[in-house]
Amino acid sequence: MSAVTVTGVLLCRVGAEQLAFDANQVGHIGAWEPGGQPTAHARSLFLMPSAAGKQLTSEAESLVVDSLEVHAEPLPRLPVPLALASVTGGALLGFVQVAGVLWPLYGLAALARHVRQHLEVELS
Amino acid sequence: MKVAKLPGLHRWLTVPSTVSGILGALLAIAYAFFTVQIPEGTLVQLLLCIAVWVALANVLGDRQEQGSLRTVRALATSSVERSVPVLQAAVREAAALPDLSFQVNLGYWCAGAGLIGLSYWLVPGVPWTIALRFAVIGVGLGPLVAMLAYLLEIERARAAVVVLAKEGLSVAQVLQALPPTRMSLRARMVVYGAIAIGTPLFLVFDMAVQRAERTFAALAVATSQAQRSSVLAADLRQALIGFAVVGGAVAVVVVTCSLLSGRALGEPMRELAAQAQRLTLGKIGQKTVVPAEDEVWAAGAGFLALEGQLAVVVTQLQAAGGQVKLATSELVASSARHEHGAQEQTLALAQTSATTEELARSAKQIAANANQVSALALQTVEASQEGQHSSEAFYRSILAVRGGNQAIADSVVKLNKRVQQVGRVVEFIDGIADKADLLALNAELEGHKAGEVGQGFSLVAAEMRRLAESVMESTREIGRLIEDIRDATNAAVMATEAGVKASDQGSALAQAVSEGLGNILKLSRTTSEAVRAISLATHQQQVGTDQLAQAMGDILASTRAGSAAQAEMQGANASLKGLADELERAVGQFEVVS
Repeated sequence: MSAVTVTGVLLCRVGAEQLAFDANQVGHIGAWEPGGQPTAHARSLFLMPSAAGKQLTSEAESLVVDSLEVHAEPLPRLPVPLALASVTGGALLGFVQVAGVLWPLYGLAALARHVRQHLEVELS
Repeated sequence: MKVAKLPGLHRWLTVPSTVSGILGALLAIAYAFFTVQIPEGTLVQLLLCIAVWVALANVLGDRQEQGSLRTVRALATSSVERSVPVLQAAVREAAALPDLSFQVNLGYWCAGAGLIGLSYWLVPGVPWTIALRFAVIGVGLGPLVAMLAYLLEIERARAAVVVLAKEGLSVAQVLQALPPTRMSLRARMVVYGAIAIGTPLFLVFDMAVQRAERTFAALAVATSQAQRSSVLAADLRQALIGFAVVGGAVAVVVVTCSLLSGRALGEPMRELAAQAQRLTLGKIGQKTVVPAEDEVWAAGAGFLALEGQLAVVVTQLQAAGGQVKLATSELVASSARHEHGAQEQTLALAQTSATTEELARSAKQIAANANQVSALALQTVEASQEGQHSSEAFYRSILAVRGGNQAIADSVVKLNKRVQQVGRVVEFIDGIADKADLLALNAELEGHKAGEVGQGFSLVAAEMRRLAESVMESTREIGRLIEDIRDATNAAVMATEAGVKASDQGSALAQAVSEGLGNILKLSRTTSEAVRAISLATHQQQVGTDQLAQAMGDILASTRAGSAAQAEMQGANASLKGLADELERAVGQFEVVS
């Protein structure tokens, strides 16, 4: 089976954790401050309190991360083991390797939805 | 003699007057019988005349004497209260009775004799010469009868005085009633002598004249020698009988009067001698009245006064003797104690003298120390002045520091405000950079989305984003610097405020120090003056202590001399105590009866 290539990845950092999104799934990047519009925050996944960061917005969902950078080079997407396919509600799409470091690649809308649905208490 | 009693005392007093009158009358009759030739047939008339006039004279004389004893009679009949004035009046009446009796008897005798002669002359056949003879005989015997009455009365009057005095009069009250003012003993003795000698001479002379006339008349009518011899023999026999009878009677009367007068004089003198003898035996105070007259009464009164004074003196002397003995005993004991005390005093003075010398040395040392202290006090004053000047300079410096701190604080506040303004600018820049970063990020994202076409755009956006991140990094660095500056300025503000406060406290403290140093300066000056005064006083004290040490040495010497004199005085006191014992024994021989 041939590997799927991803061109344009947003490498995001949440605390010491790291996430990756397909740049084509992000419609707009904005700033988010505590006390602003309620939205899903990636820090909730790691049981960390919310903090100021960048708000990634897709068509219907948005997710806040601490910081991010754009990786323009095409990267091969590594497949997701079956044991992990449903861990985050099916949001995990695979892995990309950048400079020897393996980044989990998520679908922005699915992850944002997962955070909003399963961590509603924390969001409210 | 019968002892007198108050009841009937007035009658008892006048009995001698009556008795002497009767005796005188009998004597006169006897004398007349031998010397007067009574006419025939007139003897009864003569005796009747004599009896009548003698009785009348006695009655009248007794009435007069009783009249002079009114108070005595009132006391004898208990018709008056026995008070001191009444008893004193009675005493005066009784004492005056002998003189009154003398006068009454003499007067009534003379008057009675004249009346007898007159009444006898009125009898028929009585020649006037015979009547006159009776009057002359009566007058001649009158003084003798009066003196007899006086001498008999005087003893009873004395006894009456004693009886009345026993009724409630003291010796002093008796003396008050009969003050010894009359001094007529010599005149009285002259009268006694004249009567005692004159009356016998008169009677003998008169009898001799009468017998001679009768003999010459008989001889004239005698015719013979035998008749003349017979007349002479008969006259001689009658003369002898007459002289014997009359002379004997007169002699008896005169001797009786002499005995009575001697007794009147001697009895009180014997009594006074007995009392004097009692005094010599040491029995003082048993004062009894010795009734007498004239100088003898004065002597008795003087003796009583002397005894009274002697009793007082002996009483005082006994008390004084006891006190002198007690005092001398105490004096001896005190002298012994004093001698012991003098010895202790000598020892104490010796110790005191040594202490005084030590004190003198200490005073010198104190004077030296005082001088040093005075110099130190002056140095303290100078140091205080310098300290005050330094304190004032320090105060001024503190004020300058405070001004500097205040200026720094103001500058720091201004700097802080500027830094805050810079911070706001930096924040603004940071916000712009953040937005620029976000824009660059979106531009880069859009460039990637555009593919190959947007690749250049993405590169530019990436560069802009790095630029924005650099700006943001710079602004963050500036923000940190601003924070550091702000912290530093805040610290500087707090430091300068603390410096101002410290300056205020320092200035207040410097002012307090300056005032304190001023007070210290004042106190130092006062202390310096006081120390100077102390130094002067210490110097004077040193001089005084030297004089005191010298004086203590002199006192010690004189005290030792006094101790020696005290020992001699103790011996003298012992001798004095012996004399006091002898005085007490001598005074104790007297017994004062109160």
